Amino acid sequence: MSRTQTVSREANVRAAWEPLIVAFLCNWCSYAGADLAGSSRMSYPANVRVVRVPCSGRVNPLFIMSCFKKGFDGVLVAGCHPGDCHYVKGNYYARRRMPLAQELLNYMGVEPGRIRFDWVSAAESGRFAHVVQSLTEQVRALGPFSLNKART
Amino acid sequence: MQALEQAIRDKARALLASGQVRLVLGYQAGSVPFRTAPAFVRVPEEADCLVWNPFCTNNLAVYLPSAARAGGQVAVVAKGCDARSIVTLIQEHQVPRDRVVILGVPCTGMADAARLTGGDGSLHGIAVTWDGEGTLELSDAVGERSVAVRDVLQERCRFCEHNTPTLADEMLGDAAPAMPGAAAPFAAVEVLADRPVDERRAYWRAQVERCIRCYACRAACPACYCRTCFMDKAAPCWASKANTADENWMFHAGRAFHLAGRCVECGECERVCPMGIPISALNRMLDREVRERFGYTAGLDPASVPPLGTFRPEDPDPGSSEER
Repeated sequence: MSRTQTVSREANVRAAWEPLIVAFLCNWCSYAGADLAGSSRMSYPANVRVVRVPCSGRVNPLFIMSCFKKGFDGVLVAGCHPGDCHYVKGNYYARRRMPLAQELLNYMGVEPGRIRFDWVSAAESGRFAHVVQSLTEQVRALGPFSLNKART
Repeated sequence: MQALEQAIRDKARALLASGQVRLVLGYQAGSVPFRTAPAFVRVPEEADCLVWNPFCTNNLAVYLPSAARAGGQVAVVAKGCDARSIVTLIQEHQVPRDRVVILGVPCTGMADAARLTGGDGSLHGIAVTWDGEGTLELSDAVGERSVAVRDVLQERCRFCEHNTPTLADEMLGDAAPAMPGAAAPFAAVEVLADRPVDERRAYWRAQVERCIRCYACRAACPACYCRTCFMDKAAPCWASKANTADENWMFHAGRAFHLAGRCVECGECERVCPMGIPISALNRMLDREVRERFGYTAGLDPASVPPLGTFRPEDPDPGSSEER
């Protein structure tokens, strides 16, 4: 295959590329918020794959590292607003852990824009759609993620 | 013999003879002049094997949890970094405070043997004597020369901020002067942090690609006391056994995060790494973040709670700034 062909093929792949994002949603707020967005017929990008977790405090930073190792392009972690945690304080622990994990991964070469930690309550379907929309756009702008090569 | 070495031997002998402790952890001469080996002294007569010199580099706190579990009191010779590791172990309930007798030794920094090589780049046949102050007398095939310990320090010692132990049951010797890099401990971290993100990714990929997963870093780390490491678990399988850059990346990222707010930068992980991977850069970077975000420095106060094991309701909210 000639070099021009390779380049144009890569361009096609790039054009067809869609960001793939894992969303860890807390069972009590954010998952219900996503559910409400669906039942309210709101539209948001289909780029997220939802993983339901009991609490944002359940999200081990290893989950996030695992996602990037496996080639996902972005990660969303969403939980109840401070003070609303079903387990009283799980989200407070997450609020210390997540930004630190984001900073470590930033140092290791994962752009901070690929990771979003946010609050979405069960009533905030619009906010959920908005968060997914803006994260997807952000990750799209950053391009595909791979540990293996410099970004193309 | 220098006074500090004598003080360590006398103290160890007295503690064992009185029966107050059943074991003294210290340093003994190694098989070559620029190395020492950990010493486990159980009878007073053996106390004379203990040494003190700029090659007492091992962090002896790594042996404490199992030694304390075996029962009785244990005395340990502790430099500044070792003492901070012991504080961390006490905080995390791995070592009961009343089981350990900390013999604090003011540390003037450990020499990096790799910087002692003569013109031929080898340490073969080298003889080293320490004057008990700040000078090493070397003699090898190239000839005789004397070097200042300050000029051949290990990197982690150059940036050490607590070379005089912060917690000790007994201090042997007076406080040591501050280390040269103590005023700017994160200088090296910032060099990499200032480079573009793509370069950082490529840099760490190239570094972890060389990892042979011998886990020497884990074995030498006093804070890595988990009976089953996340890397050894079969389910969930965080990283496969394959020795590839991706799997190694997972190991180094995971290990660094597990040490966030707990690592005291004794630098043993990096020293024992056979591949020369700059492991402690990750720990140091997290230390800087933890200090900035939570105002917490690991290993100083046994009564405090590690920053990721607690929270404040007024902690800053995620910086996404996405308004509804």
